[in-house]
Amino acid sequence: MYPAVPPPKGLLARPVDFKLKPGWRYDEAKGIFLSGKGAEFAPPPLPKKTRIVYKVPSLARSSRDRLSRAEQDLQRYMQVILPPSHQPEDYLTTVQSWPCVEEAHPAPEVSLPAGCVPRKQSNQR
Amino acid sequence: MARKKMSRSGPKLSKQGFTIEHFETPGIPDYVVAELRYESPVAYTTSRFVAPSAGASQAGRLNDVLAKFDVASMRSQYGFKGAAVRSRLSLAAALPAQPSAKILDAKGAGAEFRQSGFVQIVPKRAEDCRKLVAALSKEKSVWKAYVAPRPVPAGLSGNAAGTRLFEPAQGYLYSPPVGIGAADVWSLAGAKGKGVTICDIEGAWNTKHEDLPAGISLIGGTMIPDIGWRNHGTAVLGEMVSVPNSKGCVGISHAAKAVVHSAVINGVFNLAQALTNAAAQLNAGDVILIELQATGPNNKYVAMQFWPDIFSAIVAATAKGITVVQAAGNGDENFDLPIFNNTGLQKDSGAIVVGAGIPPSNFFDFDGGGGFGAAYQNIGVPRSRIWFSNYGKIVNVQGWGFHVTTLAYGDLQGDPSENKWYTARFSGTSSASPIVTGAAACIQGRSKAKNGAPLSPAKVRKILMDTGTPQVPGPGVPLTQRIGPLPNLAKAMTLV
Repeated sequence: MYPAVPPPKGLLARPVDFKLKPGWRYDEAKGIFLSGKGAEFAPPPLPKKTRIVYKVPSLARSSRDRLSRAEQDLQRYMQVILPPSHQPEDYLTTVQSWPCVEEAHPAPEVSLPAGCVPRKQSNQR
Repeated sequence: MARKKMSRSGPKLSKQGFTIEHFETPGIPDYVVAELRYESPVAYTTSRFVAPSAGASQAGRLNDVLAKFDVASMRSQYGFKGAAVRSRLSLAAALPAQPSAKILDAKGAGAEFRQSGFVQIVPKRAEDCRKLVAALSKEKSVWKAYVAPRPVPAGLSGNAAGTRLFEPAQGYLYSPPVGIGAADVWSLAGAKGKGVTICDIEGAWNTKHEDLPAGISLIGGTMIPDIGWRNHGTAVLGEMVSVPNSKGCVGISHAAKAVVHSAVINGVFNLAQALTNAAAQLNAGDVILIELQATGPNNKYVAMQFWPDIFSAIVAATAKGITVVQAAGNGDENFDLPIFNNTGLQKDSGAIVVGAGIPPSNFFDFDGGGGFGAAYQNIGVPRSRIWFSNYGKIVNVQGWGFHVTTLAYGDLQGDPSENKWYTARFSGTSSASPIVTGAAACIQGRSKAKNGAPLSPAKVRKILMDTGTPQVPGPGVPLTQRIGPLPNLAKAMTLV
């Protein structure tokens, strides 16, 4: 048993993280992906209340030539945020099949690297 | 005499911060103790003084005093029965005035004789005690009379309103090789982290804790409403910026400013955005701490820079001059395995990656005494890798990964309010990383004060690695399982 503190169950959703192929961008108003060569891709219907968002919106709005190499890379990352009742693994193949996607994976399962949480809490007098 | 249940009112504080409970014992009456002179041939019954003819006048005068008060009872203070009390008469009659101890011994007037002269007199009205004492004190046959004291429990009840000072338990502040020598450099201008902002990225904090500075702000993301996460964030902040005063802990870089950013954005973890947002609000010389881990391809916890978007976000932040410190994670994972080839675990993001080392002791709960539960456990050789710490070439330095004294949790000091909780057992790469973050803030604060500008993140990392107290091997944890040295701030400051 390795020391970790997971987030409370059911509180947070777990998205599908993906990276756009170079030259592609997402039009949030229209809900479609656009390539630099004029191609369009409308993702198929996903569960109700699913959102497709840039991981770092401030970079997504920035001109590419004003960004550092690391920021240019970071600019291409997106998330499919599913409702909490849906598992990202169930939609991974779908997202990977999109023509605009270079790579996709379920978001990491994050926890706190805390160990040996005190055995005896004496916070009640 | 019937004893009623004790009651007590609210606590008061001593100057030292201990709680003093005020006990009341309403069922136990006040009473007077009168000590008869050794040479007074007077005895007593349960209602009056008695004496043979030689002491009759003395007994009579004492009974005259008693007659002025409403006396509830009278007895030997030592519980002697009537015969034992009366036996003092003949010996007392044979003694000279104010006999010395030598004479008493010679006459065979031992402890029982001496104790037999103590009379307990209980007036019906407590307010009569002082008057009775005054009257008895005037009598020739009484050596001394006094109102009996009302004892209260001698124990200190502890912790509630008055927090103790836990700095002696913060061994990580101590001089190397035990700690990082933070206290050794605080006298240097800027070396408490002045002018540096630290941003802790995780999920929740109790910024109202009594030992944290005011004004720690959430600069982005959403708090996780969970006590476990809140304790964790509070403990992390405590290691770095606890307020130096007469209570609680002292932060390694307590002159630094702290802010916090939750990694939860849009209802999901998005560390890449949290890092980017935080970096946008910080300046060169500031420090970001990543207090998270996640499950890697071997189903073990790994450092967050394994994921390429997070790796890029760290690279971007360090390129702005912001030092990023990252917990290596608690997966007992070897980052140098082939499965991690071409991943962030085998590339330099610019971050300082921190492993968990074994401390020599936590300088506090050696024996489990004091109500702190089990004793400090010897889990291996000091400064060797703790069994759960991740390791590999990218792990740069280590911090104490076991039984760190800081804020929150409540195992060291509990209270109805979590604002007064303290722990002696914060552990993991979680406890190790703030130690290194605090050290980085001290270095940057010193550089700003001395050189007028901060160092580059790469320089800060190099100084910490080059000057630290080396990692040592232990049983089953050879040096090839690299977690790097423990920072040594005194040496580090010579290179700033």
